[in-house]
Amino acid sequence: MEKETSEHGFRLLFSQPRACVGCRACEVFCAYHHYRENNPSRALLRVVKFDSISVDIPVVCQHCGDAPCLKACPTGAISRNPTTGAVVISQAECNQCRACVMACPYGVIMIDPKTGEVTKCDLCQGDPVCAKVCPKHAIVYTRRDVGPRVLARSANQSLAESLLEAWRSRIQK
Amino acid sequence: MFGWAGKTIRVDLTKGSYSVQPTPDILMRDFLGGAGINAKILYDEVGPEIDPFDPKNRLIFGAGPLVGTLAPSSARYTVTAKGPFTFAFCDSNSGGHFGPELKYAGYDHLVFQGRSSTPKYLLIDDDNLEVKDAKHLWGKDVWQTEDIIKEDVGDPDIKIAAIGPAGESLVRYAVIINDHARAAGWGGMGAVMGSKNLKAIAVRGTKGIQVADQEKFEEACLKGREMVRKSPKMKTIGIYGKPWLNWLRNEVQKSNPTKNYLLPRVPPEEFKKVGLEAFMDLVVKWKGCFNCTLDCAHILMSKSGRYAGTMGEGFEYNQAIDGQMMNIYDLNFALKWTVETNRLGVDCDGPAYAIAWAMELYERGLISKEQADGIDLTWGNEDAALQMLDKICKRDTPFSHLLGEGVDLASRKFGKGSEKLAYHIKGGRLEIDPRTGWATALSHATSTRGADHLKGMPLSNAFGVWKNIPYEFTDDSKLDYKAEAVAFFENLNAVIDSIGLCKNDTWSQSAECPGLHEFAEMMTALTGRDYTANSLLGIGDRIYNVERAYNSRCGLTRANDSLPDKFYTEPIETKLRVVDKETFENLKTEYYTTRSWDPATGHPTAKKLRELGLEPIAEDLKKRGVIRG
Repeated sequence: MEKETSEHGFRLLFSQPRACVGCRACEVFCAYHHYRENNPSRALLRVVKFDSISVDIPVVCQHCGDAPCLKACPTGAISRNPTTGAVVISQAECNQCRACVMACPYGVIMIDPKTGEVTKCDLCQGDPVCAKVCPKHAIVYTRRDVGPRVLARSANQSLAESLLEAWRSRIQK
Repeated sequence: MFGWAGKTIRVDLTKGSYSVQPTPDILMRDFLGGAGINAKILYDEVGPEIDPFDPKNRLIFGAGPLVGTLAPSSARYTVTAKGPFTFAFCDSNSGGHFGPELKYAGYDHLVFQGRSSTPKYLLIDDDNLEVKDAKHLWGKDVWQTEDIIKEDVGDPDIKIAAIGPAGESLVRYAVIINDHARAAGWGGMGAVMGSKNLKAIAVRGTKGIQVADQEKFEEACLKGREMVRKSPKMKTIGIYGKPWLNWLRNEVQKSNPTKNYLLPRVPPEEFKKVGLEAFMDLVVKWKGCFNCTLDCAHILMSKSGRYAGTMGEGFEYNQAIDGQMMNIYDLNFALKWTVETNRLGVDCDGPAYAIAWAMELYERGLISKEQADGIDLTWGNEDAALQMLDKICKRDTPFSHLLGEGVDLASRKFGKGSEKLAYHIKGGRLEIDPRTGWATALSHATSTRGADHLKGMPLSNAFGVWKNIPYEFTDDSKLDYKAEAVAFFENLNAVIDSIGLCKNDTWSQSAECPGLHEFAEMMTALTGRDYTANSLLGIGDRIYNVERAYNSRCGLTRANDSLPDKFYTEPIETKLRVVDKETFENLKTEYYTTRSWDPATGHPTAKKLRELGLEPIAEDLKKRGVIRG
C-alpha cells in the first residue's frame, strides 16, 4: 500500500450533508479558483441534489489512503502531492482512458465539459476554497483524524438535544 | 463578452420555430439586463390593445449580468409579460438554480410569442435547442413534470421551470416554478405560459460566464459576502426566514391581513399557533438558492396531526398569512397549503385571497353551498379550502372558474357589493395592510405591477445612507422623506432585479448589505464597463419609467394609484390608525413631482422621458394622446 508520510497526517475535506443548504457556492467558487470563470459545471466537487426529497449532499474527494484512482491509472498520471497529501492528476501523462472515473468510489473524478480532460480535486494547494466559502460549514477542511470527530458531533447533535429535552421535562411546572 | 451571455433566444410557438440573436448592446447599456431589458422588450412588442392571453403577448425570461456568478445570491431571473390580472405591466422574479443555468448555456433572455397548437416544452442544451412535444406532460403537476423531463433527457441535474395544472387552465394567478419550490409567483406568469401551450423550459449549460477583471471581481464578491455574513438582520432572516415578518407585523406593527381584513391582525390567543416557535417546530433543515449566504428557506415537515408527514420547501411570510386570511391558524395547514400550491403551480396567495373573499360572501349569505360546488365555505374550514384549491386549479365549474379570475375580476363579475370586499390595487391583492404607514401605503398604491411591496417599499435605512440624512424607515407614521424614499427604492429595486441579485441580502432589505457602491464595483470588474452608484441608480430610474409608461399606455392613471376604501375609513391599532385620504393624495402629488411626472395624470412627462434617453417612448405616448409636450 502506498504510504502517507506526514507525521500527524494530512488535512482532508469532510462533508456534512445535514448542514448543506444546496446553494452550490462551493461549486462556483471551486471552478472560479481553477479556471477563472463562473462555471460550476467545471467544479471539482459536486453537490448532489435530490430535489424530490429535499436532500443535498456535498461530495468531495477523500484523497483516499490507498487511492483506487491512483491504482487504476495505467499511465502514472495520478500521484500524491507530498506536501498537501492531495491525490492529483497530471494532464501531460493522462491518456483520458477514464479508468479512474470508473474506479472512484465517490464519483468525484470529473470530465471537464469544455476540454474533455479528466480532472479532480487538488485541495487548492492546501487551502481549499470550497471549505472557506461554505456558509454553513457543510464542507470542513481539517486534520484527517479530526474530521470524523466533527462528523460524529454533527451526527449526534439531535441525540444531544433530545437528552437535554428529556432532562428539561423533569422540571416541575 | 463579459458578464452577459450575449444571446437571446426567440421562440415562435405558433410556428414551432426559434432563432438565436445577439442581445443588442444598446439594451445592455441602457437597461442592464434581467427585469430592465425585459421591460423594454415588452414595451416595444406588446401594445395596449393586446389581451394578456393573446398569442401576441410575449413571455420574456431574463437573467441579468451578475446571475450565476460569484456575487452573493446571484440566483434571480425575471419573467415579464402583460399581466393576466393587472392587464398592464407585470413581472415576477424567482431564485433557485434555473437562472444561473440559463446563463451557463449562453443566454440572457428567452422571448416566447405565439401559441402552439399542442403542448410543447423547450429544451436548451448549450447550443442545441429543441421545441419538444409535451403531450405526455400536460395535466401533470410541477413535480411530476420535473421528474419526467429529467428522466426523458437522462440528466438528473438539468434545471427546469414549469407550469402545473393551474397554468394550463389559465388561473390568472398561476405561477412558473423552478427547482421544485422556487416560484415566479406574482402576476400570473404561469397563466401566460399556459396560454401559449408551453409546459416547461429545461436548460443545461456548460459554457460559463467570463469575467473582465478576474482578481477585482473575486475581491468585490468576497467583500459582498462578508457584509451579508456580518449583518445582524441577515442573521435573523438566516435563522427564521421570512415567517419572522409575521411576528414583526402582528406583534410590533400591529397590522396583519387576517380573515379577509375583517380582523386587524391575528388575535393573541391564536398567534401562538402561527408564531415563530410554532414555525421552528416544523424546521428539518435550511435551504438556500444558488450561491446564497443567507439561506432564508427551510425544509419543513409536519410532525403531528392530520398533515403529519407533509414535507416541502417553504415558506415565506405569505404562506403564513394565507391561512390567516381564511381564518385558519395552524402552520401545519400552511405547510400543506405551500406543498399543494407548489405542486399545482399556483400562487399561494391567489387562491387564499379568493377563497377568503368567498368565505365572507358565504357568511353574508350572498353565496349558497350549492353555488359553491357543494363546499361549505365557513370561515376556517380547512377541508373546504383544500378542496376549493384543487377545483380552482382545474377551473371546470362556474364557481371555481370565477375564483380563478382573482379577487378583482371575480368581484366585478359577481357584483352585489362584493367589490367592496375585494382588497386589491390594480388587480393585485393587498398582502400588507396600507394602514401600517405612509411609505407602505404609497409604495403599494404606485407599484407598477399592482399592490406590491417589492417594487418600492422602503424596508431598510438605505435611503438615509444614500442621502446621508437621518431617515426613520422604521417609523412609517411620519411623513418626512416618504415620497422621495419610495422613488429611491423603486429605482434601487429596478437595478437589483436587472443585475440579477436577490433583494434579501442587499440594500433593499438592509443597509449593512451590499448596495449601489458594491453593485458598481462588481459590475465594473465583471463587465469591464464603467459603472458608478449614480449611473446604476440612473438606469434604475429609466427602467421604472418604462414600466410606468407602459401602464400609462394601457390607460392607467393617478386614479388607479388608490387604496380600497376600507383603509381610508376603518382605523386599527397601528400608529397611523387609518390612511387619511387628503394627506395621502398630497403625498402622491409629492411623489409624482419627485419623479418629474405629471401630478394631475400620474404619467411620465415628455421632458422626463427625453432626459432618460427614452425619446421614442415619449413620441409614442404623444402620438397616442396619452401625454403632451
